[in-house]
Amino acid sequence: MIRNPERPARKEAQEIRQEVKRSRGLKLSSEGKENLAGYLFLLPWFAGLILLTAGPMISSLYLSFTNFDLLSAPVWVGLQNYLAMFQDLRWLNAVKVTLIYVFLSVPLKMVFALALAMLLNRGLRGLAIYRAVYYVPSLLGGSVAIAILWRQIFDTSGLVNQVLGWVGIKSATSWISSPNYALGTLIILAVWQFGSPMIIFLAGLKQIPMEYYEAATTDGAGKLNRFWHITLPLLTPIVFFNMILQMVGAFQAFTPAFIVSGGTGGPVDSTLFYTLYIYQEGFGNLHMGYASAMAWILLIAIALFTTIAFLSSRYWVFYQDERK
Amino acid sequence: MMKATYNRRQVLQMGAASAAGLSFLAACGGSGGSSTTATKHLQLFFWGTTSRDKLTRQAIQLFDQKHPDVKITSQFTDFNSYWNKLSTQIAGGGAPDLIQMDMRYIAQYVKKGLLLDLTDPIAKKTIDLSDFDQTLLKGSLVNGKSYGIPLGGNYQAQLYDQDLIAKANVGELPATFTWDEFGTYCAKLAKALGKGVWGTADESTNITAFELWTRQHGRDLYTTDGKLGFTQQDVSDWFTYWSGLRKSGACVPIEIAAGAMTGGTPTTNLVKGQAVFNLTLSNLVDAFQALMQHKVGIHMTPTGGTGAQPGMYLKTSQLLSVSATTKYVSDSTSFVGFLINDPGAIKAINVERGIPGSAKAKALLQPTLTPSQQLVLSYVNSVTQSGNARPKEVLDPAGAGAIEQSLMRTAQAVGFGKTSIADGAKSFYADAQKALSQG
Repeated sequence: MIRNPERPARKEAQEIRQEVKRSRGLKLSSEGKENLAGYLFLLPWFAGLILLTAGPMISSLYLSFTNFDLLSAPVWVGLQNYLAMFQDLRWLNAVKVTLIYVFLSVPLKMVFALALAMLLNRGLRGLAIYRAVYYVPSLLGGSVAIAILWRQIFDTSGLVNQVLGWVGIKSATSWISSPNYALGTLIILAVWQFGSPMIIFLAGLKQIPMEYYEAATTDGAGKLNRFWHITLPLLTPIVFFNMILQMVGAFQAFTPAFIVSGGTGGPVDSTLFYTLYIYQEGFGNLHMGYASAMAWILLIAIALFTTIAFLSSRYWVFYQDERK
Repeated sequence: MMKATYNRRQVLQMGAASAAGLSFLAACGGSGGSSTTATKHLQLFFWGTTSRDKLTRQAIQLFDQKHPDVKITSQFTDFNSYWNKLSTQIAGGGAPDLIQMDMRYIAQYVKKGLLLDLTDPIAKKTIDLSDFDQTLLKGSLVNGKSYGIPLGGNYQAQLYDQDLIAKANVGELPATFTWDEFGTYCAKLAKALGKGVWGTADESTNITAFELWTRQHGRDLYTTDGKLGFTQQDVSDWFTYWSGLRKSGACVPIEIAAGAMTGGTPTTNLVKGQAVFNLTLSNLVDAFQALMQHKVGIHMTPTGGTGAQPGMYLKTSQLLSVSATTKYVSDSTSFVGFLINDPGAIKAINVERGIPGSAKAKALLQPTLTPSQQLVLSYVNSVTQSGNARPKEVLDPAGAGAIEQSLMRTAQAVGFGKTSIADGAKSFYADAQKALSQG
């Protein structure tokens, strides 16, 4: 709408009001029609969100305040489930195991992914093939088959001990069955699934303008300096994005521990992930109220860590378009 | 595609994707259900393997032919997920009409009023138990009433590797042994067989073995009023015994034992050739033999020695129960009766669920048994006559599953030296008490 500067302001305001009124009417403008179509397309997703996610979530919130064994009606117990957690040694252990897993596997996986992304970002021929090959573990890694394979590799007579044997280290340790190493093997399994952060890093690396490097090289900056002062700062948004995604995923890891330990979280609870404990309590011991409460604490913990990450990002994530 | 620059809003949007975290919560409030819309459609739910499914469906087919107005649909899954699925179905209001039950769970289900009292159909001979094994039947009662008919029975048993015993050549396998004699014999076996093979699997984690030990001391795991029947001293004696076997090399090292715990029968030390003995249940001979090249033998479990009580008991391998909420009481109960008494059905389901309780059924199946099934049948008969068995009259209370898990964890922690025997016994006893109080 082209405004006539000579028109009195009052009249203009009236016109705008009328226009707003019109657009609120039943008769849709073409823009409105487009939006409607969009919402219609979104409808199945909304239905899924409400029926399969929001509904069960609300009922799980309710159940978390009850004593519920699945077989008979839930009984309201107030905050009892939440308070019980802090006296539950297995719960405390599950928290410890999960935190160790998250804070070791996520940084290691990201370092690994970035290193490989940089290796692949040197104008290699057949890059697409390498990219695909390195991505494969990410597709397979969460699967049951790989978790079973993992058990074989780290078993007494598994691949790891054989390789150690070749280099002269005799080992009969069953890495997967030892409470000291079992969690380590699961962390390695997680790191091995570096594919998706690697692909994202690779895309990010490709977008860093070459001029920066050329200018830096002219000024005599070495490889390390270029990495430290150009690559890394320009990549921080991607690092941040990957970090959030991987962290949230790691908090919820379930399958590897479930399969590798045969559902027990053993040996001696050394691989008792938080989610595995929720599963054991909810479905194994039929303490569904307690399990629901634990799930909500997990949600709060994930939200808390994500918030901390976002708050801290102000100090280390560098957005080019916000440079002042 | 990715852009070179990211503004804060874009990254925030990406972060929102992390709301995927919510999905796990959703999984904890879910409910499932099944629907039986047709007038005489019955649902049967059981755990087992595909071969059990095949046999079960043959029996169902025979039943459907005789009852044209009834259609039974069956579903099956493995033991561990069975209980999750069953409880979820019940929570969703869609309990199956016919439910396969286990002795460890039945008390809990009866307490919640989920199973039909079968006293009436038994009295009316819809379910005819006139020639049924009384020990088996007695062991399956809850509060003196029948809520499920045993489909088979089995005893605790030491399965062993016959080829390894022959190879070790340390003398004849004694007909019976006490726990101490068993330990000495296993140490000899281990010494003779050399590196990588031990006498027995580590049973310190095995609640079935610990139950035998407790019963031989004249107690049961639980009392009739739902308290713990064993003492903290029993636990520490038990841990001490196994710690001795570990030291003498009679039993597999703890790491090997932990490895055995991860994948059911295929990963047991007996199947992997790491141990000669493995304590389990008698109906598993076929399951072990199928996974092994060496020949599997079956032997009575260690006895308590002089002055001890018999420890073994005929355990109901599984029961068939009827849902308390079924719309078709008479059809459901007549299917239960059919399954244990109809010659066609008996032949169809065979001894795959354990040795049947009906004398007629046993006689009918006798000539058709394979050699390993014969072995199991004669073992069951010989234990009954040996005087090493006495009926188990106390049901496992709710919380028994958690106690089983706790024994496994604590015994492992003791084995790995993460805790002392005294502390381990104390913490297991406390855990068990807590599990019972929580139900």
